Amino acid sequence: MNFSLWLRTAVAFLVVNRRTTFILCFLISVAIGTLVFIISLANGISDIMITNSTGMYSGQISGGNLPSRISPEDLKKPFVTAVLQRFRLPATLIRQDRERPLDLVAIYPDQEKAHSFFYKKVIAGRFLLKGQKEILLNLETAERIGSQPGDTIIGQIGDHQYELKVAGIFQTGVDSLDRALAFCPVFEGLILPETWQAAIFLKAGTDLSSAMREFSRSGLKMDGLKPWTQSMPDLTQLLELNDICVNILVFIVLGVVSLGCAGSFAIFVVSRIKEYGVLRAMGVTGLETGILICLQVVLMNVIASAVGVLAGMLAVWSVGRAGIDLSVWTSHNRYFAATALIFPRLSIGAAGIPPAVLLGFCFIAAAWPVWLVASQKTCDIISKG
Amino acid sequence: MIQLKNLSKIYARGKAAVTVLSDVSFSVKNGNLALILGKSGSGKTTLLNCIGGLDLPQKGSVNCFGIRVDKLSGRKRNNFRRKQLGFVFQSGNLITSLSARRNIEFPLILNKYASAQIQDRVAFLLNRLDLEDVADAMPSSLSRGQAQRVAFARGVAHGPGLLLADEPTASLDTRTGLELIRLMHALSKEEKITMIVATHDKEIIPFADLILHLSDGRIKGENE
Ligand SMILES: Nc1ncnc2c1ncn2[C@@H]1O[C@H](COP(=O)(O)OP(=O)(O)OP(=O)(O)O)[C@@H](O)[C@H]1O
Ligand SMILES: [Mg+2]
Repeated sequence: MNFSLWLRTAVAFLVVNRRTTFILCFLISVAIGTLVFIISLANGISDIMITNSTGMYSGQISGGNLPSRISPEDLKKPFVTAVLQRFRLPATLIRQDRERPLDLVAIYPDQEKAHSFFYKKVIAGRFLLKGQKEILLNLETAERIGSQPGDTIIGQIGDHQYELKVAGIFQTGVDSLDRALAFCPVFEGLILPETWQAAIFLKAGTDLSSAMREFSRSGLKMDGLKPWTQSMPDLTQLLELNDICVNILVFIVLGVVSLGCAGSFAIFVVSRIKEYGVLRAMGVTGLETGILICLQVVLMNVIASAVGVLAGMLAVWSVGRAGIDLSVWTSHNRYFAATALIFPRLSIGAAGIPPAVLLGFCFIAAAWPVWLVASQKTCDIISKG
Repeated sequence: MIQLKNLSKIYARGKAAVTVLSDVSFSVKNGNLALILGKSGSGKTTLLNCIGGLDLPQKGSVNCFGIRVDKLSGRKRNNFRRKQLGFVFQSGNLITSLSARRNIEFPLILNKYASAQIQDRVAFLLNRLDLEDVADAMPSSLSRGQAQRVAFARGVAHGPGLLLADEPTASLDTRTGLELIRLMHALSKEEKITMIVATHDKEIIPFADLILHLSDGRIKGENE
């Protein structure tokens, strides 16, 4: 097969019809560029949702019931920024005649403050101070037992009773935190349980599954370690949904664009059908004619895709410097609890999916004009003049 | 030698069958120019299509240089056209997105000639058909006469045994048409290319070795 001949002829065709080629290319590029940007934006939104959800309290990887022979230092791999140690103590809070059972979590306040942004969610009073005998109540519990910052309440843990000063009241918007947890610093005299909880924060860009693999390889028996994808199935689903929506958008937009492209080429081919008849008369096979038309369509789409991807990348880069602030729309949304400043993030998918889908579609788009030529007898085409 | 025997072509028009060619027989010697004269609708184009394998007859045989064109498979017919045949139609012959030169090159590349050979051949034809000035012009900027000369150059570029021309002069004025025929005649004699020309242009008659009068799909007369 004389591939270079068909390639050259297809290029010549696009060059000679440059005005139409340009308009079609422009349309396709805009569509591709927009999609690259939208996917990058969706990446950015996913990123911020993950950051908000994991950064609030649990870290990207959370460990439950870790035995005390494992220390936080053991978990501090090179890709880890912080391991927050927490102790969960089933407790009953007592104030006057009111009681409330809940889990009291003993934490190291200065470490929490340095790595999670749970401390920002204090709505009355203040966050805990290192080593103090005090407590941070969730709003619901505070209301139930009728307590204010400054009050003193009793925390009963097992057989022990501790007098705790209410330092503040928090509300995060995350049910699991807001309902049944209260916090206190690890203070002298507090009897800690055998096991502890870990919130592991990873360095930006660390791949979650490879981090998990690293942990399981390290030999420590830590069945309790869970990545956020497991510990927050709601978030995982939401992100998947987000992905699906974007992909549907990609398919619809490119489907419409390809339909336009197919239509334009069908018109091209019909208006020049005699040329294809002449080619057939010269001994060009039906297959070769099909290749020629396909090449025209594909070539144009490839060029337009390249331009579109570049344009999309440029848009991502220019918007990415300042970010897009969505806080007006997300103030009541827990997935944006700490920040709603979105930085579009380019990924292989963002730059690769739209052109790949378009390439698939443009072969389908080429099928129509190819069929228009293939479905007619050469002598009939020629007699159309 | 081109030899047709009892060629018949019937088209279905609605429910009725229309006989467009019936029992057409003739032969053309290699290197000769045969003229098919006939009114509009007499079946000239259909006859050429059957010879060139663009259409298949219901009956009879077409023998080109020992090849039964009507018996070839689709792929072989295609190959036969590519190597052995040239076409010139009344108009709209050229690939509009290719320059005159690229149009002429086309069958040479299609037949995988070496690039040096292609250059020589194209240069020769451009010179011979007085097309050097417009070699790189696009078809849309060629005059009709020039366009038909390019079409002829392309038709004979790859040295086919047979050139089929369907009213090549119909789109031209008398003088330009005559000039074209003169060039076609001279070159085909030189290169021993057999030509079958369908026309109702009487000006061509003096160039013909054989004249076939086609009327209602039948050969009504034959003069050498
Ligand atoms: N595909 C077809 N289906 C039905 N009838 C056809 C078909 N092609 C040609 N015909 C008929 O066959 C007859 C001969 O047509 P043809 O084109 O061969 O004539 P022609 O001599 O070339 O005419 P012209 O000088 O106008 O080109 C005409 O009556 C035409 O209507
Ligand atoms: Mg005709």
